[in-house]
Amino acid sequence: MVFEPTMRVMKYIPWSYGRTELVFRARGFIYAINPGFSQANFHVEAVHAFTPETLVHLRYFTVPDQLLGLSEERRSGTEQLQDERVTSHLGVIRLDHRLSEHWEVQLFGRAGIRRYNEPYQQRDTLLWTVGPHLIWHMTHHTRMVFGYHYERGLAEGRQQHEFEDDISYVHHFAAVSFETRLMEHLDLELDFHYERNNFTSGIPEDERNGGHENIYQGNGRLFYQLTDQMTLMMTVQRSNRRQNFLQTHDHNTNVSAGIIYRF
Amino acid sequence: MRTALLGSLCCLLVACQSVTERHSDFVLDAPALASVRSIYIEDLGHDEGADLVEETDSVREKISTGLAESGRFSVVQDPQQADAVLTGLVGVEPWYHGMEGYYGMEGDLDDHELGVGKLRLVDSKTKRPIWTHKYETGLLKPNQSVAERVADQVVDKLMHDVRQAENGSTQNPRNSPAAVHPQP
Repeated sequence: MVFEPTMRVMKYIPWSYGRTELVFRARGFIYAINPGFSQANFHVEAVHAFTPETLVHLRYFTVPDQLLGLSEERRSGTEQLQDERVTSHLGVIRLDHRLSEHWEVQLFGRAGIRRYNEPYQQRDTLLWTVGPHLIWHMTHHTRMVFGYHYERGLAEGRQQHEFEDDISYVHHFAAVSFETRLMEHLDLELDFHYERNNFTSGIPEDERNGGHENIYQGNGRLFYQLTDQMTLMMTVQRSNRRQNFLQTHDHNTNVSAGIIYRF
Repeated sequence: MRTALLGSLCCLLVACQSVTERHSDFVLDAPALASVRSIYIEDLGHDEGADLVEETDSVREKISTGLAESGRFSVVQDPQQADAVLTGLVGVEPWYHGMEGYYGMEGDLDDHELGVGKLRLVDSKTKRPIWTHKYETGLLKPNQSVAERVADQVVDKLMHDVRQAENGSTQNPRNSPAAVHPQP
């Protein structure tokens, strides 16, 4: 069981040349059974509307000291199992433009770094992502989203062959989402995404050399606005991950319920 | 470090919980309200905070229809012909819940609506406030939109208060702050 407290603080700033929305969000994941995996992430975002049809989002996102689990470290030569931790810093930009009553296009980009704890420093990774989203506004309360992201990650390990641990990758992400209002105050969101990670290690002894993984994930969410300031939320998530180099096949199903309150 | 971060997050949530809303002054001039027969409804989208509020025209239209159908008031199109003028801000304020589904692709449909209603009924000759209303948030009916709730509350409250005024009773309606009669 995981508790996910989230706080979002927002401030509108009107300008003579548009309106800016400043957002700070903090989100925690508190693991009841394995508290060591508990973590928090934060983002600061500015959304500026040049016109009602054209917006730009600028976001800084960070996840400090996230525990990934036990891994075999390669730096000491003893190959002991140790906690693997990572701190992520990401800058995100998204341009939204409404083309017509029914169509909208978004251009998404991000760049950042993942820094690992000392036994795994060869996994420190610089990454960048680009991708378009196309939104079909079928009605005022129904829309479909189609998106694709291309991401490149370059790890330190690609230049440190002695550790035989290069996690550099090329990442493809494709998603489709359907959102609609089923009845007054009740919204449904369904989305599915597919991820493909092709590891680009050129080190012959590296287990990721020639490796790839496929991830499929489906989400269903229901939101019911109970009062002016309170919404009930229920989600179901199913994911499936297969890595060819470890011959593993993981399934994961999560069910969650929550309350969102606006102060 | 993670414990400190999570502790800070919980403290911030508790701090937000303690924030209370200030109530604006409440006005009910019962004799003046009882004498109002015709009302002119101004554009209800120009008060402070209007840039965050949507569906103002729709709510205004619903209020106009509700008052006209009450049979107690006539809604006139010329302020010169009105006993009183209804002014202020009504509508709905979308609030985004920020629970994006997957990275970078969160949508602008992820929002809900908070009712907004701060109205004054002003004597058209003296410009003195006769009656004020502030929208009360609460449980939404499954088949009633937030915009409809805002409009219905205005009409119901005004009809309730005018009946009380006509009966010679200025007793405060339940859940309302104490009445403050405006000084001449």
